[in-house]
This record gives sequence, C-alpha cells and structure tokens, in this order.
Amino acid sequence: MESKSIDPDRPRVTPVRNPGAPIEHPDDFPHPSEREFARILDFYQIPWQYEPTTFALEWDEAGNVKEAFSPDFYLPDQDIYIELTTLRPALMNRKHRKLRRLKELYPDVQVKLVDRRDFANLLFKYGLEDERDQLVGQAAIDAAEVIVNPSKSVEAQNNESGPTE
Amino acid sequence: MSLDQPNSATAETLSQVERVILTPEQIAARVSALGQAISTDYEGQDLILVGVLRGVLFFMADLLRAITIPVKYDVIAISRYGPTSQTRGVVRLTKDLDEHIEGRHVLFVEDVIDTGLTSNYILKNLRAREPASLRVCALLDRPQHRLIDLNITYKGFELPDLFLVGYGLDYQQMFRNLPYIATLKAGALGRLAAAHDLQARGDA
Repeated sequence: MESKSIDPDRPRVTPVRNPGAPIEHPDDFPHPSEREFARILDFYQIPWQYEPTTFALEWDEAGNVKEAFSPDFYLPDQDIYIELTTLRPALMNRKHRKLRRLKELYPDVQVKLVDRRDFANLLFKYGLEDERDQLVGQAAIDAAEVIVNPSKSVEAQNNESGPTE
Repeated sequence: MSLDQPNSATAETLSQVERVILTPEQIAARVSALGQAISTDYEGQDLILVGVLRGVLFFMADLLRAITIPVKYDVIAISRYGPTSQTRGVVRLTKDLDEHIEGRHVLFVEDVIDTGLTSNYILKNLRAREPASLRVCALLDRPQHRLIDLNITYKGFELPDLFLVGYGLDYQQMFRNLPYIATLKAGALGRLAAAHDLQARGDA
C-alpha cells in the first residue's frame, strides 16, 4: 500500500500518550546509556519522563499509522524532547529522517538529538571516561578526539560588544 | 603568540597545549566591552555579581574591574556529577552565598555555558531567593551542547565544539592559570590522565 504524504496545513495530528508502566527511575532503564543520562538529569533535578509520547509520522491510505517516533526523554519544565542515541553515524540516516519528518509535522514540538559524539563528550565532561568506553565505544571516542584536536582553524566568532539580549 | 608564557604550569603540561584560540588581548578587550555594557545597564541599581566556583574566578575578577559602577560580588559552589557513588545522587550546594540577594539586581556570571544543566540549577536556586532581576553573563557559549535553553544577556564569545583550557577552564584542575584559551594536542587527554594517575598513586 502506498504511503500518503501529509499536508502540513491540515489540522494538527495529536500525539499519542503512551500506555504501559512508565520508567520513573534511572535503575529501571534496560539500556545503560539511557540509565546514565537519566542519572545526570536526576542529579541536576531536571524532571523527565521516558517516552511519554508517540508521534505518528506516516499513514497508509486507510489512515493507519505506518511509521511513528517516540523520543526517549521529555523534559516537562523545558517542554522539550530529547532523543538519545549511541548509533554509529553510518546508521543515523533513518533517525535523521524521522527527526526531520517530526519537525515538519509538529513544528511546535522541540526535539534535540544527543548523538553518539555528544553523549561521549557529556560523559567526558563529568569524568566518566570508563563509562564512555563501555557505553559508546572507541568510534565515538575517536570522534570526540576531533574536538580536542580540530583539523580546521577555528577562531572566536563573536567579537561585537554589548549585550546580546 | 608564544605558548611558553611564564606561569606555574609544568613544562610537561604546557607542552600539551596546541593552539591559542583566544589571546589575552582578545579576552581583555571583550571583558572590557562587557563591563562597559553592564555598567551602563545597571547604572544607579544595586548590582551584585554571583559566580559559580571554580573556573569563573578569572573571568569574574577581570569583569569586576571592568565595571565602573558600584558593584558587589559573591560566589556559590555546587557538587559535581561524577563517576563515584559520592558524586551521584542529587546536586547540592557546597558553598552558599554569604550575601542576601532578595530585592537586588543579580547578574549570574559563568566562564562557560554548554549543556546548561549547572546554570539551570543555580538560576533556579537564585530565582527562589526573589532577586529584583536575574540575568546571565557568560564568557564562553557553546550552544551546540545545550540541553536546557538559557537566555544569556551578556555573552563574550560563541565558540564551536572544542575542548578548551586556560583562563579558568581546566582538565583535571590543570591549565586554569593559562592567560589564554587554547586547545590541546591530539592524545593529550590520555597522556595527562595517565600522568595524573601515576602522580596520584605516587602521592598515596
């Protein structure tokens, strides 16, 4: 069955609230990366919900949902979703496509992607080098090294004076 | 500029510095401009600068001297998330403000804002004390790392995704005293971490 493209001007699609027992404590996460991320949020007292919402992305002609996306975390105080992934860059195309589609269909929804390199840097920032090795592996560590030793010349970009508000 | 500035860092540590991103002159010019803007905006108001230890000390000291109106300052310190059970759990204040800020105009000063997690926590804490106003001043902004959005009223430099040291920025407490902001050589972190472990074992 051929999929149907959605007109962005049509009435907004309502995201679906996920049923089932929610994960409310970092120790409940089966995936260690999500567990560590939730612990960091808990540490800084950032309220979070795990996959509270599913966004339909594609429908068949009968109106049945063919493809959907449930971002990992929702931060209610900031009204923002966070998708955390430790996928290798080569496997990220599908994820990027879903995120683009979500932004097209739900323009008021804020979603941030924390990818493998971002997460490796976050772990490094908190001195979690051992955990970084376990959670994201050598490829991401190599990528993070680029940050330490950039190949391109980088200079300060903002030299104008005065407040930025 | 030459990397071998006289300071207390060891030659071995200094040799890990690769390239200066912001010179002392660039930093001084920007800090001076920020100080002038703050002095204009807060003219006639009861202004207090609040910084979070430890990296902000260098920026805070220079910024205070660039402000030309009466101003006070205070510092706050919080525990940091880390790998041990002692550094997990929930963030806590390890040093509270000595000054009362209720009804006063507070400018929260940070050396660098990246994820926004620390700043968000401290801003929430400060806001609960009911200051007359609360704004943010950051020397360095790395918005590509941001998880929690913040409104930075006074911003020094917006920098790309680099690990930087100097002028208060550290790696395992090293490099803070460099007068410039620089990148480290490839593999430097691994070498420094190994040296740090060896030294720690030797001290034990």
